[in-house]
Amino acid sequence: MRAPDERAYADYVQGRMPALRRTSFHLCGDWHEADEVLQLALIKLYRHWRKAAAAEAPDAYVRKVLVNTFLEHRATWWQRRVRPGDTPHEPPPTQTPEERLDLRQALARISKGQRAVLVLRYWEGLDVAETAQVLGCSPGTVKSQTSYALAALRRLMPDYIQETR
Amino acid sequence: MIEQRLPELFEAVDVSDAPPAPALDPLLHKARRSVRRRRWTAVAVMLLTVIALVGAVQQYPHHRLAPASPPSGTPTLPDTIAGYSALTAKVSRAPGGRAILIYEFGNGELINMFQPIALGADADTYRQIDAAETGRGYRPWLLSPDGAFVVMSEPSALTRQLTIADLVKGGTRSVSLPEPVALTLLAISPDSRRVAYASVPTLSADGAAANGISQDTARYGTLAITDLSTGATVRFPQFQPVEAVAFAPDGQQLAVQTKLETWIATVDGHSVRRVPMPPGRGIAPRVAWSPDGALLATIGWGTDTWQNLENKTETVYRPEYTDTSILFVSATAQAAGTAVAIGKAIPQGELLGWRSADRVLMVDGYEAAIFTEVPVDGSPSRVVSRVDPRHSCELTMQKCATFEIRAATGLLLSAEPRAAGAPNRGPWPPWFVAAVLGVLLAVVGIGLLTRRRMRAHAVT
Repeated sequence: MRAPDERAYADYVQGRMPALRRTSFHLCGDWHEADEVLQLALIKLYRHWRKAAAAEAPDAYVRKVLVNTFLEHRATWWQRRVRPGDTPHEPPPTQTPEERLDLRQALARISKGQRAVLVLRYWEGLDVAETAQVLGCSPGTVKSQTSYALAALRRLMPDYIQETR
Repeated sequence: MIEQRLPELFEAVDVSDAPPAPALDPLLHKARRSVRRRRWTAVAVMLLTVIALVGAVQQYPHHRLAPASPPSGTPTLPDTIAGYSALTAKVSRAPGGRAILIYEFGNGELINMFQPIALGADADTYRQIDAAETGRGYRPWLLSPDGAFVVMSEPSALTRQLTIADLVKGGTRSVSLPEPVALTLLAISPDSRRVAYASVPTLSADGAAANGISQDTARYGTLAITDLSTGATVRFPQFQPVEAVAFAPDGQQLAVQTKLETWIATVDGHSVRRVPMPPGRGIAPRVAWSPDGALLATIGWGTDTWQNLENKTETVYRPEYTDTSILFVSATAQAAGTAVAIGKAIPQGELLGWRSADRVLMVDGYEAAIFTEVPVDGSPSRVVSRVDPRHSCELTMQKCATFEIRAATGLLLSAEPRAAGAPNRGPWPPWFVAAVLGVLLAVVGIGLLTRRRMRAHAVT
């Protein structure tokens, strides 16, 4: 990469680091993995910086890289070995008050795809079509995954359901 | 509804335990390294792909798509004959076309690394004549004057057939003999139709030993000529033992060395006359007769005697070891006359054939054969080719040596010496292709695994 491009990349990363880091943390659920995934995503961004910088919405491009890096990272051989049972798809039906979870813990209990859908839609504020574009799937899939994820959260976080009634 | 509160819940997630944000410089360093590594990976993949493609193209059976036809161009002789290569393809798999030379090449002090090689007459093609290989050693052979095929016999047993290896089309065929014999091949007629050989119906106790057939035929062998197209065989019982034969250029006469005498006979055996020779001399094997029919090349002939297993004295007639010079005499001299030597004796080497009526091609040297064109009048010679001496055999422990060289005598007359090009050794042998693909797959597999693990551990 030429020096001016690298300077622009460094400026962008420095400016967007806190927000990107927070998104990565919501996706991963812990800071160690969040920083690891973000770094991988930023290295990919470095390799494709010219394309990203030329895009109308660089943030959308970077978001897509970050989410896909997270999904790939969770699919790696190493991650599957060291995180067995880390993301159970079906939460337990009932919980005692001592077992009730906050959002961070609840997100850790649902699948990576559902977590990505929730983060994109309710943290990043994307609509169904934008979320589908980032994830490379159909809007119907986004809708169904959102529905499943919310149902799971309702079971995992009954206090919040009651509060909203 | 929980979905309405989710943005707020996301905002409320406790991030107080966040470690300091990663520094930018290490990230840039890793990003630059990643770019470099991908570039090198791309180059390596491209190289491996090129190697695989080259291998695949070499594997492609060109000869099956384009049936070989007899080339009509001027035959050539490269100024350097390529060194040993274990990757040389076999004639049966990828024929290299008509040959200007055939030879055994290699060494076998510790590891048997011999190859029976055919050097193409039209290009720098090198092929292994796999039909010459037997479990008991290589078959004795002769190259046809047109370079199109090799005639072979059995190395250590009686046989009912001659084996013909087609260097142009790659196949082999057999020519049946009237009865089983042990035979030593002597010469092929200039039209490549007939082959002369010395044969014995049984092997002696001595003859059954290593190299025994040539010993037996040199002592007892009878001359016979077999037509390679019809299988018809003519015997010459008057020539026993027969040591060497050379066909006349018209193919209608033979010069025959029997014991220490030289005779000329018609191929039907009806007319026979003796040729005067200088003392201790006889015809050079296979190629003694000059293309104009005027001269016979002679070498020194001698005898070996020993007591056999039954305590009888045995005598075998053989070329003189100590005097390997070539002397030319008139082929038309009458028996009552005196041998007339033409020119000076050529000091050293083995006669391979004639370049013209007054020049011959000689080969000398064991580990680095040198091919020299020598005028019969003894004027200065010139080197036209040599075996590349740089290559070695047996994992560099020995030098490669050249044996049993035969030339396509008909092609030598018009062959043009030329600068050697890159050797064409044909498609890689299957074992080598399998090894290359195995290594390729292993490299790609290890690369992919390493890449995944490095990606997973990029932060640490």
